[in-house]
Amino acid sequence: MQRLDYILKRMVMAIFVLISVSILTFFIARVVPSNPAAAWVGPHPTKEQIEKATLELGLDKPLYVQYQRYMQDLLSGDLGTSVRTHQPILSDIKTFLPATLELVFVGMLIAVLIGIPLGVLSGAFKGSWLDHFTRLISIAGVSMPVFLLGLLLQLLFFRQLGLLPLGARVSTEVALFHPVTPITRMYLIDSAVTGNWTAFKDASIHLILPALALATYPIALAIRMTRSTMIEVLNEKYIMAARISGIRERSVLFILALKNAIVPTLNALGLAFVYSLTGAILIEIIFSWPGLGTYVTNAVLGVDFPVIVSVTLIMTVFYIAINLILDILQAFIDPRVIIG
Amino acid sequence: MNTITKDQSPTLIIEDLTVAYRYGDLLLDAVRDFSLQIAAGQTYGLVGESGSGKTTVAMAVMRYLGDTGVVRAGKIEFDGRDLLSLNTSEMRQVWGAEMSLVPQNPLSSLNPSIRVGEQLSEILRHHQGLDRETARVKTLELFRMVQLPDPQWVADSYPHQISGGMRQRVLIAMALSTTPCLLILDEPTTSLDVTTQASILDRMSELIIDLQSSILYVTHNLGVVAQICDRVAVLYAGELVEDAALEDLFRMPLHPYTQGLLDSVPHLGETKDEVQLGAIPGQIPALGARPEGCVFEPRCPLAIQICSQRPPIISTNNGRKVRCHRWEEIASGSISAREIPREFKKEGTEITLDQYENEHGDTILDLRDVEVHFPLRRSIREVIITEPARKVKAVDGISLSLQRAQTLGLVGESGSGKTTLGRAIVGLVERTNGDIDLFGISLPPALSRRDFKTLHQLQMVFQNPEQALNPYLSIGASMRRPLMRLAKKSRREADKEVANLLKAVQLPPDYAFRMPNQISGGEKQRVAIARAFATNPGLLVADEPVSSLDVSVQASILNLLNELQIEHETTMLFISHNLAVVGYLADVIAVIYLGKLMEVSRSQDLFKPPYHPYTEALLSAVPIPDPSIQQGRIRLKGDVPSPVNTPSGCPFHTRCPHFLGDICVSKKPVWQMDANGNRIYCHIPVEELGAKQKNMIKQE
Ligand code: SF4
Ligand code: SF4
Repeated sequence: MQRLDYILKRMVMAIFVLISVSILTFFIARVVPSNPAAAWVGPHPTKEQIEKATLELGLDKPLYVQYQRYMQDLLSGDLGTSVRTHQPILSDIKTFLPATLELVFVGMLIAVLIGIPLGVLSGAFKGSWLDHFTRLISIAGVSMPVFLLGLLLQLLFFRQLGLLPLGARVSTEVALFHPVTPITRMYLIDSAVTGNWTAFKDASIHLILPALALATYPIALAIRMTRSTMIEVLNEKYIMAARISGIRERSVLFILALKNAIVPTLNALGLAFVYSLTGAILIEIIFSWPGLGTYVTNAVLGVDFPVIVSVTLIMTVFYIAINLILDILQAFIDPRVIIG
Repeated sequence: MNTITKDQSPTLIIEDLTVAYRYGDLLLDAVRDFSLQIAAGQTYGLVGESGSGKTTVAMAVMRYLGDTGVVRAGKIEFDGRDLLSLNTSEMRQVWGAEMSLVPQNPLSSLNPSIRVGEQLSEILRHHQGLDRETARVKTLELFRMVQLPDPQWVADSYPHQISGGMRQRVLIAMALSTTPCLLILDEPTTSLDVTTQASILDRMSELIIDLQSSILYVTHNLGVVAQICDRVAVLYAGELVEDAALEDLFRMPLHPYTQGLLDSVPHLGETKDEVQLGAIPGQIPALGARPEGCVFEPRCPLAIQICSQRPPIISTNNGRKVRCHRWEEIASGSISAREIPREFKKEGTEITLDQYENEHGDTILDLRDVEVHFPLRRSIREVIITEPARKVKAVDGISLSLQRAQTLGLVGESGSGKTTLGRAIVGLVERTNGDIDLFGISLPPALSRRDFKTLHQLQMVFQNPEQALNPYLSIGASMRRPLMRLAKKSRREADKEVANLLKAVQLPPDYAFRMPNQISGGEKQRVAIARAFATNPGLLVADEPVSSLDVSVQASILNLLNELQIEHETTMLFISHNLAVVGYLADVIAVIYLGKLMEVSRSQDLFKPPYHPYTEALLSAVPIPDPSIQQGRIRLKGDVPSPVNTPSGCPFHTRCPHFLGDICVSKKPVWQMDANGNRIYCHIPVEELGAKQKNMIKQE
């Protein structure tokens, strides 16, 4: 019951934030440009064009009516049209977002699988060679510029070892002879669902380097957070109590202690996830990855206002959704959060 | 108590153990040359105050001293094995299976994010190789064994969802789950209320007999030791000072420290008119500042020249051990640290409560139907279904009056509302209903609306002296402030007054220039008391002023409060959970339960029937530091109900051993008066109540 209350509360808050954000983006889209109609029409508009656009966009109506229309459009999936490409923004995003999502998902998975265990061990064996080594990794991970890392990885695995491809999502061969049927547009999922294992293998190989480059910073983050909370938790009385009741050290570290130490790490990784959706632009460029980062950069450079606003909105939705998921996850991991 | 079979070899042998802690480059000995033997099935009490090293000994036996602890010398033999030579993975075979620990703080010792039942099942699965289902069944069985109500519900709960008493039962069940041959209990009941403590101790003594395990019982509480142990070792400043069978120790303590310790706690039923507490002067030396010679020398009233050399531990011919140069003189009775023999100073004055109240005339403080209710935050679901906000009824209609120069003791367990009432009087929390009159003038609920004169008249001493003093102000500056601000004294006058006050609380005048972190907890409490008396207040509210202090320091603070109060004719509201302390210091005692008064009695009458059924249970639960006293045995079922849903009718009806039936549930009791004018809130007529009840404390 308490847990239900807690989840309910979080959901109501998430909805509240969503509505606030929609109002905010509405104002940015319609009010900030001194003349939205002119911006809509493009450079060097005629007077008639502007008048027509004003009517078309309903800019003569009162603000709340405009907001209502804006919300209706949003909810029916109409994000407007790009000024630059004159394409519906939604269809653009449908092609770019899944590529990025796939990359970021895999990157985060790597971060969780490598960063958290290393953080646990490093915290448990504070001061040991393992701890020093792990801390070196995490310092390097935080401070190394991501483009440099990407280039180094390409140099090593493509040029020197010839093990992994240089970039792109699949090889030309696969694109031509074993094309992936677009369903979710995340290649790993689509190829697996359709049983296209050649494409699956190829897509996986192409993912390794960019995902690794993307994961470096989150790995470092996960190591640092996990290490410091583990050190704290391992000093708790209940850990002593568990140890002197004879429970195996492995269970003490990875079950009993980690359960109490993992929440801050998950929260940090959640933020890193949202950040990576657009922040991975350098990686996308280096690995010729047709993702959202590239799309947004072009929009910013071309002052493509509707695209910028739409992507902002989508990022916010992701941000809120991730937070909500983390909050709910937290309620299951650490039951103390649900009171108070 | 169980019998000890002589022919068995001891379960645990500690020989000349010295344990040190590392502080930077320094190694400071926390325990020196400590020896002890626990026979199979024996319950050994290890008694000491803070800094005595008792927990260090326990953790050394457990081989869990942490990163900074080092065993410098000595031997620990457990079940024939040399424990100190085992490595961690070998210890893991011993931990839990052969040796287990019930730790002190039950909340922090349970993993907050794992269900309680799961935590116990894990141990069972690990040590006994049980499968999930069998482990679950066995868990419930163990929970039943420690008398947890509703074991299934407890098993499915997280630690923060169950009460402190339940948590401690869970930890005991965990420790006993593998029937270890050595059980170490580290202050297992210290954080619990007396009534809970009593029923846990009862169950524990029964289990100890059943299991035949050896027990090392670590505590500072002599009363608990008297109840549960066969033999007692007394530690002071890291050294074993005395080791004797239980009865011997209490009947004839041989070490001046043990003598002082026994004299410094008031016994249940003793009052300040009858007995003076023997306070041990000074304080426990800090780890780095222990004397070269006898560790007790700076505080010992019997110290002589030779005491500057360290006394050896001596085994007397009747199986006792003592570390004192003068033990033979003490044993022969020619000298004693018990300067004031513990005997009655005078017979209690035989006046009734109403006579007492009339005699003292002026009512200083008058409370009428005082209520403090805190609204609870509603959850979203409750807002949606428009449920009204629930309230915590911390204080629920209390009427009381205090006469001039009287001490009223307010006694209750945690959650009774005693602290809230004190705070409502001082204005730290605002009452939600009722009147409070000081000197006949109504006090506004909010502190900000009270005038200077009131602030001047009303002072408070808190439980924790650490929080009462501003760490950035010197002691002198802290004490000067109320004098200058409230009593409107000049700086010169105030300084003079500070010097006088320091003298009055037996501190040297140069303490005015010290900072709070340069003095000990007991000294801080003295300063806080001096400051409270600085403005010569009409009413002093003292909220658990000694409960954060060590026993040997408590007595001097109680004596001090008593002297100052008599001298200043201050009226005092003394709030405490400790019935013996309240009974000692107060003239009149009010017993509070769930925000309501249960009984108001003259203190010398409180310990004789008739009493309120709740008082009766409290009295029978207090552990008495004297094995020769027979105590009545009344145990309350369950926990104190939540102050949100207080029981209807008589608030005590869910746990009352004399429960009458429907009338207690449906109708509020009335106040009745016994022959001595004491007031009892119960449906049972006082005569009948008196006839049903026995004297709870009987000297043999
Ligand atoms: S050795 Fe001396 S100072 Fe120490 S306890 Fe005995 S009499 Fe007191
Ligand atoms: S009124 Fe009833 S329940 Fe309350 S104390 Fe008296 S007998 Fe017990």
